[in-house]
Amino acid sequence: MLQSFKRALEALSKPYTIKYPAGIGTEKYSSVPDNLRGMPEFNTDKCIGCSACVSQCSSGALTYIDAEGKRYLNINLNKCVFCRRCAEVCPEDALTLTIKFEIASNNKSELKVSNNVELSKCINCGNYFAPEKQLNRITDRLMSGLKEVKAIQYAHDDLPKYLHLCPNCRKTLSFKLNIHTRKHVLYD
Amino acid sequence: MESLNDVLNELGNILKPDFEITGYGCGGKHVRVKTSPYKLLDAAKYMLSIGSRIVHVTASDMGFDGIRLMHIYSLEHIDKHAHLILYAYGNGEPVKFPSVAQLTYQANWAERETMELLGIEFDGHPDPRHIFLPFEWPNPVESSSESKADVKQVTLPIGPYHPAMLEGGFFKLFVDGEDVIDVDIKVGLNHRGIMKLAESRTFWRDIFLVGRICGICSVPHQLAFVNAVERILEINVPERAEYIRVLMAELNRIHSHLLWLGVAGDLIGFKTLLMWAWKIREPIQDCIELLSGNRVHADSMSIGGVRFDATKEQLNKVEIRLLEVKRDFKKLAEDIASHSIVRRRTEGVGVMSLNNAREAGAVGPTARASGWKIDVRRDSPYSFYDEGHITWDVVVEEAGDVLSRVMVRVKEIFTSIDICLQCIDKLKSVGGPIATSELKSFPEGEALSKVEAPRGELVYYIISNGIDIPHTVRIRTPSYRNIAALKFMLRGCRLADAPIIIGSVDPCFSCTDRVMIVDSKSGKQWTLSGDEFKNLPFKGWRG
Amino acid sequence: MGMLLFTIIAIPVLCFILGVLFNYEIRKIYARSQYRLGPLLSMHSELRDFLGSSRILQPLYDVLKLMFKETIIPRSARKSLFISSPIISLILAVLSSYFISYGGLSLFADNPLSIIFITYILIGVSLFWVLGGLASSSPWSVIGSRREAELMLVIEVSLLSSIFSSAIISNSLSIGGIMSFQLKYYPIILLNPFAALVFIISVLGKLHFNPFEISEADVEIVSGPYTEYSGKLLAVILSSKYILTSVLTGLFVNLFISGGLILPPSNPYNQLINFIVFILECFIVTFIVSIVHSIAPRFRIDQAISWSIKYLWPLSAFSIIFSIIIRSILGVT
Repeated sequence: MLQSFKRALEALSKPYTIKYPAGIGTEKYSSVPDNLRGMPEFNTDKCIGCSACVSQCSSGALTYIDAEGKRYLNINLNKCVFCRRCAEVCPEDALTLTIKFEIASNNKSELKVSNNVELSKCINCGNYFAPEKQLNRITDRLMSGLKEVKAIQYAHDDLPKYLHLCPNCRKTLSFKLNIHTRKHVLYD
Repeated sequence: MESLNDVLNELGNILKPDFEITGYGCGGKHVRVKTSPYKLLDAAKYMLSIGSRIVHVTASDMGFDGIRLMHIYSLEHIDKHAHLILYAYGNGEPVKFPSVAQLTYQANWAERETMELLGIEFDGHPDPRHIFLPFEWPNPVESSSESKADVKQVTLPIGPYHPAMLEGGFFKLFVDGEDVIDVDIKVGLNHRGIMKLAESRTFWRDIFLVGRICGICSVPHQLAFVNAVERILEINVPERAEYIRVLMAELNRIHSHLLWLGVAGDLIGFKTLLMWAWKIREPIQDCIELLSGNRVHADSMSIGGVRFDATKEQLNKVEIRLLEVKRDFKKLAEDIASHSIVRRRTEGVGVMSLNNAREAGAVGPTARASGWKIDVRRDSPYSFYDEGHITWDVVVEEAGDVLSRVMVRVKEIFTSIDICLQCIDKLKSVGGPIATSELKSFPEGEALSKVEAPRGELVYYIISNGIDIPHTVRIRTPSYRNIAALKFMLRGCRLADAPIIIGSVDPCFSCTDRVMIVDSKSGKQWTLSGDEFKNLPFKGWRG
Repeated sequence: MGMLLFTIIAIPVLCFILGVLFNYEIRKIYARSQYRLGPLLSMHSELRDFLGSSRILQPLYDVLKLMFKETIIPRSARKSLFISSPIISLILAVLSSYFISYGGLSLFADNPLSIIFITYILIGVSLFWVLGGLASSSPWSVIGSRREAELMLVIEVSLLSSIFSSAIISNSLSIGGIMSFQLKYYPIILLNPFAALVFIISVLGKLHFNPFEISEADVEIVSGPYTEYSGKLLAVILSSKYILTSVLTGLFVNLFISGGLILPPSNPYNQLINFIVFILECFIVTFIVSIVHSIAPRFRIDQAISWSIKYLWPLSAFSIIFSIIIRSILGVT
């Protein structure tokens, strides 16, 4: 008990807690590390709207809506558990978690992080079906992965046609446009 | 009994002709045996006679085969890792099985839970009341029907909303003056349906879900889950990842025990101890945050490894903090051990003898305080807890009172700090990847996985049917056993000691109440009629 | 006459304000010994608009807030007793405040039997808390009241013996007399420290501080006798507690550290200095109480009683004998 008495007297002069809103940022809260999983943030330039993050979101906070020629990716911060899974699966590193953690708000609409990506139109039926950037990225990755000259040639010819058709039109028009897979050509 | 094979042979003789070994797991140590429902009781009698304990009784709806009832027996006293999973299929409406709760209290709660989850009926269960639903369900609540029984005896409710209860548990104490005569425990006041929810999400998304069963022991939950999945997948985890896993798990244990120490202080009216213990806990939280990016939910586990690497700089910082904590906590531990009023309030209070502990199937520090040397880390070592990698020892106290439960946890904090320091040492030299690259598609299979959570043995049983969504996830948390064991400690204690005794097992109601049948959007469960309720297990769980 | 009326109103108000300040101090010291900041003297600039400039009056806000809340009376409670007992305990607490000498300023402190009066009144304050708890007929309140009553049995004895040991030394049954004795000789805390120790421990028991926070043990019996009280009635109980805090600390200062009387109260200037010294001494006593409160867990009720009978009662008996010895040495007549 005497030890406790000593400890209590020692404690009187040096409180361990600090006054609460000490400000946002690492300088004020000394223990905020650089890898803190805080508020998520989109890099609008890098995001291609592939929605890989949506499929892997562990709490269902990430959703997307396609409307009026755009794909809207929304993170509902009320639901978000800050697990960083979305940033892990993002193929373009477009989604990162900042160290911002004081995000409580009285206004519900502020608790939202969103990004929008242009959708591309189907060249046949004119419906929007996939993000423009995603299609371009697929093209780039496919082309860079191909080694054979012949394959590059085929891909160069077919991809524009193939990628810019919506799945429905692709089915109906595939024979007409002659864009069946050309495996037999490559592996002959 | 010398070996697992002897047990199996003997069991084969008893169960003849309904004895079929259907599979092995964990290097042949987890044996799955199929038998017929009416032989289960004989098997239980034999298993209990050789000193085995029932880890869990659970069931799963296997579709056309019917409902599969599983008895998981631990044979760790014979061989490391050894477990027997005895199961039988039941068909019919309703499905009936013999109850092993009439043989041992260990299966009591588990069978009551299974009754509610799958609508199984157990013949001969000594206490077949609801566990998650209100006792009176589906009849209306009749208050004041029992109060006339004994004039001298006062019924005191502790919980579900009570200052001593940080979460919703309900202890009905029958009190004569200050003496507690009997106790009735009701849990399940805050169901969340996590086991069912886990069966509708992919394995990857489940990792984050199971971590959120309990905020305090999120790491062990995730570790147990990924261990089970890795056993189904049969993949190995890189060395560096295993060390990080052990480090995270032990940091979690330190912070959990320190948190508990503070709460225990509060329960004996020593709020200052709460603050002092939590001040020491703060650097540990900082370490977890430094390594993983979040103070509470580390979320560091991943199938086949860990998600975050630890840089050398981080490890140095953690090491410095840990040494500080060790120094500070040593002083505080001496304070507590020598504080006369603390000793007065805890010594000889809420004694649970070794026999009672075995009967109730207590686990973790609660069991170890009664002199029962069980620790999953030693009995079936997972990750790198085996001798080749880390040296440590199980902490055991003999007295079985609240003070020894305090001392077990206090000593375990030092053990954990030592383990952490060893891990940091190893991590500085061991390189390599932090996650395996040999990921494959999910095969059909099932696995049992056990982890020593801060509160005790945490059990996961997962059945996969070949897609990336688990067919069955069954969880048995340590508090489930320890809260049931409270019955033995509370009888005959003083009323003023009831909160600290309840607190002394570190009850985690959020772990206990992880299952439910609730449609939160419509709130439908309260409007069901009696008949609808009877059909509910079949409608609700297959829907 | 006007002066008398002013004093009759001013003393309880002064006591209440002092009680608020002492409770603030207890909270602050309690928090600081736990490495916390505690209620703030000056609020953080960003929060000043929402929360006000300081928390120094937090105990006062607690009472004021309750004044505007609904008072719920349980159906099973015995209504008349349930309502009247907090009010009577407040009246008794106010009455007891007239017997304290505030650095020489007082109403009845110079009454030749003031010690007898104040001891009776102080027992009454706790007694009506007990009665109020019993009247509310909730199991928590009944158990809390029983604990409080059991604690009273042992604590009042030691409180009385410590009060009377200082009376024995100074050969006077009046608080004013005891103070003037101390002005003449030495403060009694130097002459008989055992009596002062017994008094401090009894104060802990009377005001329900650790290790005697037994009747209000929040994790065991919610808040003991006051469990069913709410709104204005709870505010009345709280104010009676605040007044009792300042009365008991004031009584300690009066009986053991000369009641702030360092100069003969011949002119207003000296009286003011005496008054300030009195308040400072009160703060020191409160500091000791809060430190003990923060480093001790709560006793169990049977432990508290057995501990008191084993250690406290012999100590109080010894302090009386010690007083008699001291008195014969000093030769007070």
